[in-house]
Amino acid sequence: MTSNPALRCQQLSKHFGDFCAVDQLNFEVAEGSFFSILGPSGCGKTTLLRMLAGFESPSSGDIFIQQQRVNDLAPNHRPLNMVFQHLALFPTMTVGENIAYGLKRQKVAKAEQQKKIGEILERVGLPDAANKAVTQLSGGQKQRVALARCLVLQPKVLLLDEPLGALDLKLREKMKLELKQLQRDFGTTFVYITHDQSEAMVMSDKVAVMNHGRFEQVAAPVDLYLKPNTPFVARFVGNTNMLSAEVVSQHDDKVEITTLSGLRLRGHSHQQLSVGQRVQAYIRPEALHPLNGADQGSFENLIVTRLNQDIFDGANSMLLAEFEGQQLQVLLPLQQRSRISDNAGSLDGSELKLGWNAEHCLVLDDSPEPIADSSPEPSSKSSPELTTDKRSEA
Amino acid sequence: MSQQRWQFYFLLTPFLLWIGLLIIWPHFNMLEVSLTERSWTQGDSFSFKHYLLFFQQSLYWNTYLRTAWMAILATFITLLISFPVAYYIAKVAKPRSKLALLMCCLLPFWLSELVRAYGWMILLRESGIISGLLQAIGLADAPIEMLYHDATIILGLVYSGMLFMVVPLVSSLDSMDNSYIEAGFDLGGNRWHIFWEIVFPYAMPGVVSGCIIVFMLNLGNYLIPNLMGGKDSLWFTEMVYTQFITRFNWELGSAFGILLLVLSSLLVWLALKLSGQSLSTTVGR
Repeated sequence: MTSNPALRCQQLSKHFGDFCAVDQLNFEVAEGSFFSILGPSGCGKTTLLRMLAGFESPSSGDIFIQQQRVNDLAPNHRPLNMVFQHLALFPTMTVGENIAYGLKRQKVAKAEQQKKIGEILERVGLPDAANKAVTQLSGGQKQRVALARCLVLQPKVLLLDEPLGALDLKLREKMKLELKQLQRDFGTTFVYITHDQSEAMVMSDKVAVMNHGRFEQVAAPVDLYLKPNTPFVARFVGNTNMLSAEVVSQHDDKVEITTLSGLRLRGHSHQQLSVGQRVQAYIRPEALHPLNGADQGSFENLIVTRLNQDIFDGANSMLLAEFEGQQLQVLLPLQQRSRISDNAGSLDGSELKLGWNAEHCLVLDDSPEPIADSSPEPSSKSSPELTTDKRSEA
Repeated sequence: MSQQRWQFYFLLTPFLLWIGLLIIWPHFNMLEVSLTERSWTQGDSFSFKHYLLFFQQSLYWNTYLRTAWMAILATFITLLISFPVAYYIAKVAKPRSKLALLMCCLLPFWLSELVRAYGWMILLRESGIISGLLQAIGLADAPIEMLYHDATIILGLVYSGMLFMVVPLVSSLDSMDNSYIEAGFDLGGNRWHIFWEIVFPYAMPGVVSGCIIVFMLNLGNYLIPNLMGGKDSLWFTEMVYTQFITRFNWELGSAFGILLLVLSSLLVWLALKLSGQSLSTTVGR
């Protein structure tokens, strides 16, 4: 990666008794980047963050901040700051005093403090808030004050512990974009933990997907979405459909599979699979194209399903279809809607032909390992850039 | 609607009876008595005589000020001792031991104050356990009298007031999120900064409400100064008692009572002003 990472962890582990919360992690975070750690609750991400901040000590392994080993540094001596889950703005102080608290510890002169407080509040868009009580602020304003309180200290790394969790949906969408913008403006290295894959995708330069104390995959959001390495990542990041199948043949990354009823499908895989092996085919809802009547399109895979439900949600409208006892979600853009629906007045129970290409059909071995807690908050909504989202899996 | 109104007044009646008959009326009565001069020949007349007497006799106002000062000192010491105890119970102790520790603070109150005071007397008197122990190990040649000092009064007051300080402190510290403390460290503060800038201001309502309760209990305490303070350590409540019971001078006794009320009200008001709290944020919680 980079020659001089802002943060580096080596063989970092944390055990609580027999339980291994963080399992021999090795990773680097590039200077000035937005790095997210995404995982279901209980995956060890909070423990990892608390170790970075210094509130937990690692069972083994090392943490480096800009080449300096910080394992033995107390939290108040580490060159990083943290935005807490519930922000932890001191309720007995005004906004200005909250920001001044850290500056006083850095022994900044009084006049200089006031100047810095004014500047930082200006930059986070709250120029007149210095004398306000914390309780007078709205949720989004508190968020910005919490950020300002840390950023004014110019930390080498800023840790964020799901700070958007307490906000309502609309505000969270707004704050996502705002946070990303602020990170770019300040150029500070952000390490952000969340269980909301949409937050991670929208804001991050790199996302680490964490499960059972390990990183399943560390990649840019696009790669994570298009080329998930493991079944866990495929299911956890974004919305996806799964079809059970067996391998018929494999040539390089091209795989031919057969479904339960013997239907041949084409897909791709980076894994080395053996003939007859049980696999899952992962197809994103937006890769499935509903076809009308005799229309075959130019798709490599075609199936006929039974339409169960038509869920209208504007740009995120979905069709739920059943194939071999498995539920499939099909994204239905508005312009395609008319094509489908003038075919049949009531859609329920009718036949629906679906087509998709091999490049959108990822084949991975059928992992027997159950997923800790794979359904994140149902309230998370898709962002403008990325049209799909993890919804409650039917 | 009318039935609701009827119920409202029915439930309000005990309160009105209590505050009227036991609080307001006796106080106005006391005020009236304190401003009355009785005379065999000329009958009763209005007079500030008893209040003037209080200022003329140095014993009276000296005791008055001394009582105020010692009650404040005892309250302060109670706070000093109770804060670490409350902090331990609220923040350090595990949830299971929390209740047990609070019960330990409550335990002495299963005995009457009289028995508690006698307990200290057994320990501290000339022929008591501590004196005997010091002689036995050779640290003292003769019996030591540890009772009947001002310090013993303070000791007794602190002991009897601690629970009333610990409980409000625990309740205000309990509601404090640990992340405030962690944020304090994270932003570069040490224990000193965190205590004075985060924890103590947060606990301020508990501190003030505890101090008000303990101070009022101290100021109005009769038993402890009487039993543990002996003859040399006068307490203002003892003077009120003397006037009413020994001297049959109800007028002067009433004047003293009113002065004590003025003193405690004034000091509580001052404490609230200085700490920037109000009654509703402290006692009213």
